[in-house]
Amino acid sequence: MNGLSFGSAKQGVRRVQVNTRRSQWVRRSVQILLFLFVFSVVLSHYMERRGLELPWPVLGNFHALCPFGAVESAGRLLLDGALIPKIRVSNFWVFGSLILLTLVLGSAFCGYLCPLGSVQEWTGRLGRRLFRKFNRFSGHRLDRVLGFMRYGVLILILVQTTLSLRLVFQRVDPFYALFHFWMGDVFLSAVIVLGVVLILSLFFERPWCRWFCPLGALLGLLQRVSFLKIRRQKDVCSGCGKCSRACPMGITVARIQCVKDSRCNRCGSCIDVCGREGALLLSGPRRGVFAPLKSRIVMGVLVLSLFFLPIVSAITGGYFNSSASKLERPGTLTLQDIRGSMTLGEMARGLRMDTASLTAILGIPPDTPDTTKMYDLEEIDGELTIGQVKDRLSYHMEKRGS
Amino acid sequence: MRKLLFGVLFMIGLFFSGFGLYACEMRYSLVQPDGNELDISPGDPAGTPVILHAGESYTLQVVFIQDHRKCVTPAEETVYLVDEEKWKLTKEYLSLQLLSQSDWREVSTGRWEQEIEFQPLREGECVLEVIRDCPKGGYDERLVFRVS
Repeated sequence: MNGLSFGSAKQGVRRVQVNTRRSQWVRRSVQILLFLFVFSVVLSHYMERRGLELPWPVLGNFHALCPFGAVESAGRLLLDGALIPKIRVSNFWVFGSLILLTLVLGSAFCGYLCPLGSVQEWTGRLGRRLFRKFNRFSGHRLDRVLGFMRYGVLILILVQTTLSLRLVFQRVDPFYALFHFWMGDVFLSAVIVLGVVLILSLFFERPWCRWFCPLGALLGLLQRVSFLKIRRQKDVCSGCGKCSRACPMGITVARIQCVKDSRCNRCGSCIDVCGREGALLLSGPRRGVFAPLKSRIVMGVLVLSLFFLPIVSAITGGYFNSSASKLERPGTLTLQDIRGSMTLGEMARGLRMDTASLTAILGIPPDTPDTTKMYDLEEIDGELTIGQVKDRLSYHMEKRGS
Repeated sequence: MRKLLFGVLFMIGLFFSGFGLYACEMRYSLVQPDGNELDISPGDPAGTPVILHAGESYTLQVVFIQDHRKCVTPAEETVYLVDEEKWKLTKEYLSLQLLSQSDWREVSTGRWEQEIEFQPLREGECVLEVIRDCPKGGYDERLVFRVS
């Protein structure tokens, strides 16, 4: 058995030689996969906004997929029973999946799935090559003090968002900036924060995650009660301290029985460098739990499954609802959903009909452009207000029904 | 250590400064007949509704702060709908009658203001929809009034 493993400590001690680079390949593959996935989601939404017809389904706006959006909207949901603009039901599905993952595996989201964490890690690897003084600060008392800033950021964002009813975090969100800086619709302040984070990443391990990330702060608290934790087997451990030195987050693993530190992202570096088989295990509270699972591939699959299965189930069941309207699901538009900001083309798609049929029903010229807004129809036909559009469609539907 | 402290202090500065420089949003305040001003938020039917009295004149002050760095929709292209129709001076039959509408004026970089005077005509719930159509997500929110 080498590297990250599930299982109980064996009675006999066996020394193992581990190549940590090779032992991290599953985690790094998942990181790359997730980065590409998030990028493809953003790109698809961008292309759709540009009017391109895509052969694959578009999950929706980036804001509607961010798990932190659910946290930001929590205050307003409790007080008013409503959501912050741009936040949808889908945010709660993503956040729920994240909670499930964290309750089982701790902050594995940060170590495996978060693209911003991955980018910081990749930048850090570059920093190690360029500069010798990498991550010297880790484990310093000030490092721990700075770690508390995450909670301050979390509280500040929750209060500000609830009071202002806006996504205030968007102004400084490096995650949003990372995937949208090229679109020109990112706050300059967010781009600056991203730049500072990347520069700091050249010298320190995951600076955003350690000192600023509000979502990480929340997950860190939650992972204290997670089922699977990294546990040290006293009877097997030689106390060499390799694990503490290997921890990129500066956790003194060698001195603790069970890693509950909120900074742990389950990267497994401590387990990888341990020379004694079974001295460090990612396991349940009692020995023997998950004993048959020894593969790190299983860990990767478990992380992906716990996070994506609830989301995929919600999408296939039609509960995900990441769109402000029903336009992105052809054929699901009802008369009540019709709004002035919709275009003729969007409405035709939502009603699953072609634009020519729709123009015929509305009694407007067939060459009316697809991009005409509903509120502009009254400029074409003086009587054709949005209320009239609904009436004419309603009449058509009734006639077709009879 | 010095680099780290500089970076951290810079980030803290960004978090706590009022960097609305490139912020984008719509803010609304309602000047009531007695001169009192009330800040109102869109899309809040579950909260306390804004109460208006039929026949009295109100002034809605609208502030548009440019949303994105490269905003492609000028302030003048903001569209108001009442009773799902464009809000126009000539439409005297709408539940909120438009009395006057000032031009948008840029009061500071990226910040625009407009004043709209209107009069509620009928009792019941009135919805004023504000739309900004742009390829970067746009804006489509509703101000809900209860007229008594």
